[in-house]
Amino acid sequence: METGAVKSVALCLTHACNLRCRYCYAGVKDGRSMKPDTALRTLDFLSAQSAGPCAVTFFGGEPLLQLDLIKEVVALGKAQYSGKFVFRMATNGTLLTPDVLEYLRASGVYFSLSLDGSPDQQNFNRMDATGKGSYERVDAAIDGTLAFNPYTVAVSVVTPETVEFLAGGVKHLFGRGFRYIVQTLNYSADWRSEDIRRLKRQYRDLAGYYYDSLKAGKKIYYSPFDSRIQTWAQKPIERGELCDLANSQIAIAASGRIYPCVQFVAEDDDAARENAIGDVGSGFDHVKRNWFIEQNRHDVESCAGCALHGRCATFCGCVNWRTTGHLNQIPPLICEHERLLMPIVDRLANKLWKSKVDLFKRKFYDKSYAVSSYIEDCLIRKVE
Amino acid sequence: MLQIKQITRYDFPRYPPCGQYVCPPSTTGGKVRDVVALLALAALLDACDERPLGGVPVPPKYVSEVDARQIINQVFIDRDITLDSSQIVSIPMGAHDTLTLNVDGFNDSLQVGYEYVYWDDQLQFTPPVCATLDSLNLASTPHILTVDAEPDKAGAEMHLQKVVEDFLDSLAEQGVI
Repeated sequence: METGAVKSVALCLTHACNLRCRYCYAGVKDGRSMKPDTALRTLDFLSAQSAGPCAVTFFGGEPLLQLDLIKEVVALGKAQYSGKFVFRMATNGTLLTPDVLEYLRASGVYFSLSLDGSPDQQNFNRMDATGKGSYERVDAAIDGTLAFNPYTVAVSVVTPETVEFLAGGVKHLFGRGFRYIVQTLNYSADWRSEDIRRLKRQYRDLAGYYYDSLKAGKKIYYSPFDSRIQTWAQKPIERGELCDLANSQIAIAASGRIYPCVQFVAEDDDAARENAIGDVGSGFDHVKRNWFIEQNRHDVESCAGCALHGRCATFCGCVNWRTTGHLNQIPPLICEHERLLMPIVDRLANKLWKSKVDLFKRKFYDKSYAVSSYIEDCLIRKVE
Repeated sequence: MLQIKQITRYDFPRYPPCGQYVCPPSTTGGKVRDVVALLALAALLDACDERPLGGVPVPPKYVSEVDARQIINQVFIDRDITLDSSQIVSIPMGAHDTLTLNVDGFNDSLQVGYEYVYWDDQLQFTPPVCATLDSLNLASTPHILTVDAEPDKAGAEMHLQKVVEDFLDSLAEQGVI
C-alpha cells in the first residue's frame, strides 16, 4: 500500500469545552488536555513524515482553553521547523477576546468559526453547560474576527430542529459580514422525509438569494452550492480529494494517539483506541493505517452506475463510518440530500449562466479568479 | 423513510462543463485593467500619506521659487533696501576658512541679503551652512537670511513675509540697517 505525505493534521489539544453542543461528536467533555511534551513530540513526529509543508489545525474540545499550549507549539514550530508548519484553528469563538485576536493576528494563526447562523439556530444547538445559548458571546467577536481576516469561514451545522431557519440563518451570516460559509448537515441526527422537504424549500429560497447576490457582484461562498457547481464547471470529485483519512489527513488526540480523522478521536477511550493508527512516540501502526486507506479507496457499491457519480459528496469515509459503521457504506441521508440539492444547484447555475452574470463566469471559469479577486478586495479595502 | 437510490437519468446542466468554456478577454482582461488602474491609484494614495480621502488625489503644491523671491524682495523694497540678485558672498567659516556662496539677493553696502533655499540649492546650503549663517546674523557680517522652501499651506505667503520682516526687525534692533 502506497502512503502519501501527511499534509493536514487536526491536533486535539483538549477534551475540555465551555460549550455543550447537541450534535458534538467529540465525546464527553472532561479536563484531559495534551501535555506540552506530547505537543512537542508531535511536531517532531510530523516533521519526520515528509519534507513538505503541513497544516496543523488546533482542535478540541475548545482549543482556546489551552491558549498557552498553542503559543508554545506555534513558537516552537516557527523557531525549530522554519516553514514546515502552517497553524490553523477551529474555535467556537466564545473566547476570542481582543488580546487573543491580536495574538492570533500577530502569529498568523487563521481560524474557522463554528457558528450555525441566526441567534435561534445557534442558541438551540450550541449552548454552554448551564443551557445558555452562545450566540451573544460569539457575535461579540465577529467584527474583530472579520477585521483580522475578512475571509474567515463560518462553519454551520443544520439539524432537523433548525432546518426551518436555514435560509434565514445563512442570510444572517452573510449580512453580518461573512463571505465564506461551509455548511453541513448533522448526519447523525434522525432526519425524516418531512425534514427533507423542508430542507428543499430552504435551499430553493437560498438559491434566489445566491443568484441576486452574484448578480449584484457580491462575492459569497456557500459550500452546498459552490462545491457542487465546481464539480461540473471545474472538476469532478475523485476519491481522496474530499476525504483522504489516515493518509494525507490525520488527527492526533490529546494523548498523542494518531487517528485516521478527528471524527474517530471521540473520547479517546478503549473503544476509540481500536481505531488508532499509531502514536506520536512510536510512530504509525502501518498495518492499521494501510487498512483504513485501502477501505476508504473502495468504491461504494450502492452508488455504482449512478448518474451523479463524481458530483455528489459520498466520498467522506469519516461520515460514512460515523453513521453506518463502515467507511464505504453511505447513509441514506447523504443520498437523499444529494438528490434534492443537485437539481436546485444546477438550475441556479443555469440561470446565472443564461443571465451572463459576470461574477459567476469569473468565479467558476477564470483560473486566476482567486488571485485577481483577492487583489481586488485589498485595493477596495484600501480605497474605502 | 430515507433511501439510497441510484439516479439512472439526469439531464446535463446547460452551463458549460469543465474545459468547455474559458472566461473571454472582455471579462478577464477588463478586470485586469481595473486591477492595474486600482494599483496605480493605491500607489498614489500611498504617496499622499495621510491626506484625507475623497476626490482625486493631487500632488502637494509648493510656492514657486520665482513667487517666493518676489515676496521676499518686496519686503526688502518696503524697507528701502535694494538688493542685487545672484551675488557671490564670502562667508567666514571658523578662524581661517571662508565659504563662497551664491545668494539670491544681497546689498553690499549693508552686508545684508537672503537665500531662498529651493530644491537645487540644497547641495550648497546644507544644514551646517545655514546654521553658520544664522549665527552670523546676530554676531557679525554678512547678515544672510536663509528661508527653506516649504509645501504650500494656508497663509504660506504671509508666513514668508513675516519671516523676512522679523529678520529685518532684528537687524534694525541691532542697528545694522
